[in-house]
Amino acid sequence: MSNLPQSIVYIVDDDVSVREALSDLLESVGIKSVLYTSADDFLSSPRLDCPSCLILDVRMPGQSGLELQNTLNAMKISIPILFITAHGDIPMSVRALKNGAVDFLTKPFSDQVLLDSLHSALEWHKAERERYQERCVLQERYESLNVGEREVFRLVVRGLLNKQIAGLLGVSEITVKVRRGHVMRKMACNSLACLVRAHDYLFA
Amino acid sequence: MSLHLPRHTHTQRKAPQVQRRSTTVTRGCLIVVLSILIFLADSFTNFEIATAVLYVSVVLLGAQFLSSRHLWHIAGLCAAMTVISLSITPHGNLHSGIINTALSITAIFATTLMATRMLKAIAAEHEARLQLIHLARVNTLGELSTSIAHEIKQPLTGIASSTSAALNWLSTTPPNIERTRSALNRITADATRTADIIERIRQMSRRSTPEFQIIHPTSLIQNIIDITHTDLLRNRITVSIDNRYEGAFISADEVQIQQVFINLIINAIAAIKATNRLNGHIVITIEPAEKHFVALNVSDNGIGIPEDALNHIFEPFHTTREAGTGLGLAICRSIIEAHGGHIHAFCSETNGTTFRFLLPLFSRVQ
Ligand SMILES: Nc1ncnc2c1ncn2[C@@H]1O[C@H](COP(=O)(O)OP(=O)(O)O)[C@@H](O)[C@H]1O
Ligand SMILES: [Mg+2]
Repeated sequence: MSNLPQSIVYIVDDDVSVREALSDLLESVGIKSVLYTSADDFLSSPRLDCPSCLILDVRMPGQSGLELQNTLNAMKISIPILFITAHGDIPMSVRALKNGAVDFLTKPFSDQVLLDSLHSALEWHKAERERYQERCVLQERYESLNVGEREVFRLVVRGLLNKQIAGLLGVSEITVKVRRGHVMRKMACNSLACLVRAHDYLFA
Repeated sequence: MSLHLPRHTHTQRKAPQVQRRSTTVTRGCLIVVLSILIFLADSFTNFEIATAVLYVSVVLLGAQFLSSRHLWHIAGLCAAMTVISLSITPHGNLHSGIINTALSITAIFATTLMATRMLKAIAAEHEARLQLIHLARVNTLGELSTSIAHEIKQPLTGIASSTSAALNWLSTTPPNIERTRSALNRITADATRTADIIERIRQMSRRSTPEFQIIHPTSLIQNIIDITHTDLLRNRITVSIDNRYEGAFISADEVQIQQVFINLIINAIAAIKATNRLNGHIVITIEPAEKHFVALNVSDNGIGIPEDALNHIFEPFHTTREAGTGLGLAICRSIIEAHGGHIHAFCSETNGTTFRFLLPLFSRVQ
């Protein structure tokens, strides 16, 4: 864990001038980057487990930048994408942004605009990763509940009273109370509000 | 070059022109004769025989060479003659006579309607072809410039980013000289790469030097007028050729010189349209110029060009038209200069513009 960088930028561009200048520019402001010459090159390499951003050229031999964006979306990989292109037209940029790109810059771009976009993309990905972690932990906790406890959980967060739940499930009120206690403990919650939030997070 | 070549091209070009004029006259006579015959037949046959339907053939014949307006006139005349025949026909049942007359007139006008529609479609096709010739060059230029732009923006992006990187490496404490140096080296390499791209493009355009052949300007101009004929007709613009130098021959790339004329005529049409005048006129003059040159003038009575704009019209992308590219005259100039000539424009007092270009004469001594 400790030898992972704070963040990483993947640069995919078939042009060597652009690639090397960009990576040097990023390094000069303390951002690490990895370079790829094509979309396939990027897809076949392992990705690091840390906040990251993808700087992607639109026109490349083989899979184009826009196609790579679609591939990543289909694979449910949520890495933010910043497009750079030497001949961007408006429909193209609209399409890219609609599909979730964080920005669409035309070459040559100002370093400040690039770095600003990059910083906010990395921030976003960091937060996104934390949300994802949280979701994973909650999921694990939820999976430790047994069937009866899950049912009680489902009804409790709807705001039903123990007596009502007991009626609905056809068990005694004592049983409901016991299961409710288990749910609170296993989900690491000490209030109803906490349970409701956890439920929303899991089933949103 | 063999000597007989120019004369050969000359006669070959002239032939269809003469032939066309004579067929027009023949067809005109044919129409008149045919109409008279039908009229006589119609008048002296019984009412029951609808001879007047044959006027349809007159209309169809007219459609081969007349404009829509003239075609309607002919149709009107035929209808009138049908009615006159009705009143002078001596025999038969008057009732069926009237019905037959009505039928014939309907047939005449229906045929005319179809024929004029057809003429309109043909005119539209002609215009499309003209636009195509005009655009072909401009489009290649457009595509070319897009890919050139793409190529050049890559090293430019490298230069811009490396410059920022170099500045950043310099402002660390202590400055990182080694990294600054390598950023500067990349900038030099990218600048060289940009220059190489530009040099490649320059060589590419050098390769498209004109393909010279010996041309008689008169026949070339006649050709151009044939191509632009429909456009001129539609805008009611007349053209006259004033040839004061019959014996001139030039050695030139025919397609390129055609391109020059087409661009100038398209511009002249636009300039005339902008005035809304009805007596639009274009004059093309061929005359001797300074030693070893022939001068070709294209004059119009259009809106003219303001004094201060005259200095800019040949610059690429200078345009005052909504759909203009501003490339027409720039292309004209580069073609003329590649031929060793020059072109300029001036406005006359009587309004309108003249474009004048000089081309070197072909001489056997060369
Ligand atoms: N015959 C003409 N009369 C008046 N203005 C003209 C004429 N020909 C050219 N011009 C002016 O010169 C400009 C440049 O012409 P051109 O290079 O052919 O480009 P475009 O026709 O696409 O505008 C025109 O926009 C127009 O303002
Ligand atoms: Mg023009």
